[in-house]
Amino acid sequence: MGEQPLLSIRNLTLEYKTRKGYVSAVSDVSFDLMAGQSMGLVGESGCGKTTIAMTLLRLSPDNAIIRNGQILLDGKDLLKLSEQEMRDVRWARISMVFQAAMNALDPVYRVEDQIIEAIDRHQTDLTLAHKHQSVEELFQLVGIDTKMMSRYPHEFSGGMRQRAVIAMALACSPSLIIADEPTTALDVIVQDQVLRELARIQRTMNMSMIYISHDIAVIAEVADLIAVMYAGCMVEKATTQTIFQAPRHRYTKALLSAFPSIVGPKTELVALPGDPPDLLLPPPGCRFHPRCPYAIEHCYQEKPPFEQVGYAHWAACWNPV
Amino acid sequence: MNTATIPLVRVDSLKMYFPVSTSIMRQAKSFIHAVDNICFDIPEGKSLALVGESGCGKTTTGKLLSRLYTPTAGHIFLRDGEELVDLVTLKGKSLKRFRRRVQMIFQDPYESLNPRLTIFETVAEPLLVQNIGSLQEREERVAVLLEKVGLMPAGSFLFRYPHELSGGQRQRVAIARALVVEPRFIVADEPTSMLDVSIRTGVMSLMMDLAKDMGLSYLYITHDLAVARYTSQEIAVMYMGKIVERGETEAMLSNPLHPYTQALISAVPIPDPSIQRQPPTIKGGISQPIDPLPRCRFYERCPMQFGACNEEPPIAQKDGRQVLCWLHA
Repeated sequence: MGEQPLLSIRNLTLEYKTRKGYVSAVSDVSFDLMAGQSMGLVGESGCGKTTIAMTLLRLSPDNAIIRNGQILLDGKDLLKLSEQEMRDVRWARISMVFQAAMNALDPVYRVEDQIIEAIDRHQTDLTLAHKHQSVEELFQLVGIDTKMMSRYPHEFSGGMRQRAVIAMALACSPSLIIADEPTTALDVIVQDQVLRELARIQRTMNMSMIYISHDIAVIAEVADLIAVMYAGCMVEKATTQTIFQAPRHRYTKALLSAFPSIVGPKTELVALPGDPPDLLLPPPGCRFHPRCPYAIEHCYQEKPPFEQVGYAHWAACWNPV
Repeated sequence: MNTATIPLVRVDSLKMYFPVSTSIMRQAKSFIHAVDNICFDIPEGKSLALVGESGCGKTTTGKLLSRLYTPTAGHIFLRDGEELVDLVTLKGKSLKRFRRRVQMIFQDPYESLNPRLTIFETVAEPLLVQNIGSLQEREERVAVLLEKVGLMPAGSFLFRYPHELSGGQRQRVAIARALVVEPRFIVADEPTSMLDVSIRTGVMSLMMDLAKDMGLSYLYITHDLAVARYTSQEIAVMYMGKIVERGETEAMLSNPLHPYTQALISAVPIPDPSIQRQPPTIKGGISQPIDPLPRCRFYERCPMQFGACNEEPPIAQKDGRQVLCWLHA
């Protein structure tokens, strides 16, 4: 291959300082993403998916302490940049589509002006007519009537708002877009439209994309690669096909057999016993061992390494499938 | 009527209109037809899933059936021995007695449990309201029930507070509270949509096991067709206050008849990358049924619309399915 990845996260470890102690939110996570690839980050609430996204943009809350690791964008470590330098990266190189589109838009400004604000920060030499034209193109790209440009967010429906947020994320043609639960608040038919739009734009503009979702069915439809997280650790990463057809980690397997589908034979759903661990006091060894029916003694003692187990396939399990 | 054919619940021409007032001084001139003339039966021991997009009227239907709302018109019958009793006419004492037979489970277990009550107080409260048993009997009943919903050993949960429990455990407490008065019928409004996948399956199968063991029926309100498939023998699809299609679960999922059901089913993402899904062809979003015109509610968005659709469609019967569509009339 020899190709350099667009994004490379190396041994990222992050804790949140709370009154009760340190919460181990992300533990030794490493992965690469090539230009033009789309990756899904799947896991349950509190598993560290959003923390990784926020750390990528250096937007973590004040109580987040990065213990270790590098975030390399084209070989440059984002964690070493000054706040001023980071501002040039945000939106121009990496942008984000947030979950709650209503909260991501400012209710008192016209949508057009909010998008222009993002453009202004990075391209100061454009005339107003130019900027107006780029917003018009963005609206056409995401499939909203350009007549809506000068409207306020409350005049948009839920699906249109999410499209407007996507338009804003595209404003400075970034090389990487992070979509954090982009369709969770939407109904299925609108979700389907928005996902199709996102996937089409990602392909035509050859951007990299990280989809964050708890819904493995949504990820299956849009991502080339899937990374599964559990309790702050990345437990498995492979192509979408491999994750579904030949998962190696016990948690991935359990997640897939707990997920209901409306097609195919009605197979029995298998529930996982117990709850995710408290990350103030994560269990020793593999963090999944207290809930894992296949745990062996080694799982209690030592944390399994995130190892390559096949072609483009990594997993962290002592007793894999 | 033969005893076996008496349904547990019968909903007949049920309507709920909410006034839309433009000013507090003026009388409302227009109405949201949140639930507009719906009919269905739920047989004893069977469950019906009510599915649809947000704002279609499914929660309103649930609140009507548990008599948290009083309907604008129509009847809700509940089986009482050999007879059907109309809940709409009940008041005072008889309404309170009826609440022993119909209970609710809500979506968000963080909101539906009182943070200041212990688990015992929470689960025993309906017994207190209904004046059932002595303190000791209540304690025993609550303990048995907690074990039944998977909170074991019950002794370690009785005197804890909701904030000490995880989301899945809280929802189990909410289920125990609904079951403590031994109801026949439970309205469950999105009981698992706030829970994570690994927890959700456990709560879903608990509810199904309880239904089997105790002969319960659910009205299972959900936006997720896959959840409906695993919880209910029948599905009713709602759109803008109307039930557009109702029938046996597997038959409907494999062969939907109403164009809206077809669109809804084809929009559900499939957790299997080897299957290519045909995306739905309908455009636009759902709008509010404010004084809707007397024609098919799906008129504007329907890809198969033709002349007759400009009039109110009749309920057509086809292969054990009820469809509200001119294509099948």
